[in-house]
Amino acid sequence: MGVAGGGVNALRGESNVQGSTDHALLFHILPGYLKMPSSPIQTLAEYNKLFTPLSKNPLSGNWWQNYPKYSVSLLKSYFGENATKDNEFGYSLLPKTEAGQSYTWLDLFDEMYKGSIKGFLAWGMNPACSGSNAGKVRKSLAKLDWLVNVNIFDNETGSFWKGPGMNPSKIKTAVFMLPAAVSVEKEGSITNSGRWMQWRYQGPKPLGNSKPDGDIIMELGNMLREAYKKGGGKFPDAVLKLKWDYMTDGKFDAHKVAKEINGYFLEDATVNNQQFKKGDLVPSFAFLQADGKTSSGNWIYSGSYTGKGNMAARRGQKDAPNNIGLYPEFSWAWPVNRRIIYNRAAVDLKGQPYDEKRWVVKFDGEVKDGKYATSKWVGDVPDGGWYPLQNPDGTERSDGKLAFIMTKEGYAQIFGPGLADGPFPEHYEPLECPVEKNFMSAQLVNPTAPVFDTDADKFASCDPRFPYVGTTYRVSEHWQTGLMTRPQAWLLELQPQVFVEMSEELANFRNIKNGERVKVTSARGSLECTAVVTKRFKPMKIGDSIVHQVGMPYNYGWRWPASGKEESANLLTPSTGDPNTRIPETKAFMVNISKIKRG
Amino acid sequence: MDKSFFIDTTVCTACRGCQVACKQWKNLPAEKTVNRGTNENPADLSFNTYKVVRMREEVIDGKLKWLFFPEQCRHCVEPPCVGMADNPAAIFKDEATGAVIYTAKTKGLNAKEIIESCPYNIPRKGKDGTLAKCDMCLDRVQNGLPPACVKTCPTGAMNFGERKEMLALANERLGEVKKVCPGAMLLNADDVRVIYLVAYKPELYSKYAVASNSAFGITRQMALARMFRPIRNIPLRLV
Repeated sequence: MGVAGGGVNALRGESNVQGSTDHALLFHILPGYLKMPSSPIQTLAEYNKLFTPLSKNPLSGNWWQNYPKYSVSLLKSYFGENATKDNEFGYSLLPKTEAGQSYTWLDLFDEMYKGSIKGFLAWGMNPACSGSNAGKVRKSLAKLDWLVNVNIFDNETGSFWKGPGMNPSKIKTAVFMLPAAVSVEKEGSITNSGRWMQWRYQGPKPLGNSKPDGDIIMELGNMLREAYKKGGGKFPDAVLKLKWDYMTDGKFDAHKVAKEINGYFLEDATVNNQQFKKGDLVPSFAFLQADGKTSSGNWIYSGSYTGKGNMAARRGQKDAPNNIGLYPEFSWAWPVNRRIIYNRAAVDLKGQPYDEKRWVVKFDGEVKDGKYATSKWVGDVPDGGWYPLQNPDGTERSDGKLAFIMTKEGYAQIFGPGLADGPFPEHYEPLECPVEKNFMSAQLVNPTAPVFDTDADKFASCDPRFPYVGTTYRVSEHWQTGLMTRPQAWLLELQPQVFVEMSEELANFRNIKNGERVKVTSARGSLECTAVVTKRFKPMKIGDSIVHQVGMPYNYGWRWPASGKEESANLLTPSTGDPNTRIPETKAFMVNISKIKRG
Repeated sequence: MDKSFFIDTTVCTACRGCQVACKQWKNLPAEKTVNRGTNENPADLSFNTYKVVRMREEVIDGKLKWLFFPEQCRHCVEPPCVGMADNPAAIFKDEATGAVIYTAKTKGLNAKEIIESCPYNIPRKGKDGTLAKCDMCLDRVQNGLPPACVKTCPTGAMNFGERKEMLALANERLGEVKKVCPGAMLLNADDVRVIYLVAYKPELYSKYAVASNSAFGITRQMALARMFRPIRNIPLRLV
């Protein structure tokens, strides 16, 4: 820690995971990591009060004290002129979650299975293959009134009704296929794990009737608004009062959205001793206001599209003076083009780097009589430009701030409050497991893990019918559920079939030959796989028992290859998961494996 | 202009981007394959497959190693197949780069003879008798581009450039790898333009990792075949 290259570097499974999370793809947040309002919080005042932390420590930057500036600017962005002080900037128009209710993937499909969700927009997703307990997912789709499948190809989700075990004449779901343009056919941005927002111009034009997502959303929105205008719908204001003007000449305009995300001055204003005119783009989130004078669709991206232009489209090649590969003029990083967050944690109390050779920021202000007299940081954009906490002579300063400005206390946290379990990590067995007791503690499985109770949520722990541990993963030749790669002949040539890897010991024991087709079964489903007998799998000794593990890639589905025999390994996986994120437990579950008797 | 590849198998991850890039640049059709109990596919080189990454699981000194070997034509410095064909319109060595090039005229050659002359078992025969194999992406190289397999390699396993530079790079890497794996070696570096660095015994990686003949050069079959040929066809270098 404290050196260039240190710290956490999240590896993402997709190029824009960071961007989609920042813009609130998940249910629990609004853009910029603002909190999702829940039904008990009925007024904006309550909402802002609840989520604006107060710190009595004068050394704590406590940046979230600015929360109302960001929440009000977001509401102004959503509802435009319809957001006024008198209507709490449209707070009542925001959808609210039920308090304590989770709306993750697992929860949504559980509700769908029970029949309470009637319509579903599957946007660039293939849950019929990617969803844990995919058999339950497929049955859930059959309970819908309508399904809109937005994708670049037809997939197992859009065609679920003619899939294995389905009787099309008994399925009432109306399915609409909206062909989408692929990424290179669209203009817009992605944000990588380093928070670099990178603008991409349009390459080839979309083929046939396919359209960029932006156009699909805008046109769908326009049609919904027309329908609500005609009357009959419940709560039309939530749709009709939206600011919905992101088209130019009838086409989605990515620049209009990017500017809205950055934010505008909505009235003439003087902020931080600078004068702005109505319609000016805000230079950074430091200028956002809680009184409705500014808008910003995502406060952390404020500064990405300013009077200086589209900052994400910059392609400058010059490095910062510390020469550690920050390239501050290439694209734009949130927040405020800071390339490494919490970078003041890499300096000592006097603002000098812990590692002289691999420094990120350092304080370079003038010194008079052993005291800092002027303020100047060099290197990366400092995470808070205050003076250091100490002068060169070791005396304390009162105008400095602690390094971790996004925590209320100002300090890093070994464990964060607000998690479903903890505070310390604990070993639990998976919900489906091969042992009757946890060898580390008296508690076998995580008591806070989500458990669903439909007839499709079967579990079989220590069940002789399912004696082996199953796990799933991916192959590098196929992408996610293989929708973009399975139809690609060169990639299918490399990985033509779903396989199950097992140890030589297990193969011997079950008389399975390398390369033969076998059936893998769990309490929830089964599929046919090619056996790959490998030295890379070894039996494990757990307690006094020998436990065998088998592994399968989940990248396949019945739509392609044409044989229809290569299925998703998620037919086996359980619908349970992490108690906080509800990321499904697809890495450990119980299966059996058997030879296929033919003829 | 004398070119060579350096293939550092110690950093190869068997992503097989090179296999796909080769097919893409050459617009070669995919083969219908099945999983044969291994990730390796297609099963072998063919008329439509110039490159196959071999994958072997070996226990070495009690530790499991997964060995990867991107197999392709070695573009021999003195290519036996050129000598065997003895027909520059069918098989020739591009003087500028050293690439060994097969043309459509290979259709008229004795394919069996040519294939058997190759110490690395590389050329493959099409339905009509034409022979095919890697051509060093000569069209790309002549236009200042690296071969497609090199261009796509994300780990630095595939390298291409001036022979001198590649030999220097190969020896530099050999020195580094030897510190960890004392048995590391370069395979037939003096005889081929595709220089492999392996960490362990080459025969563990692929049956044809090193030249199949004890002495590089004329094979028994080749010698036999030559005996029945008019004397004027004997290439200069064999005289």
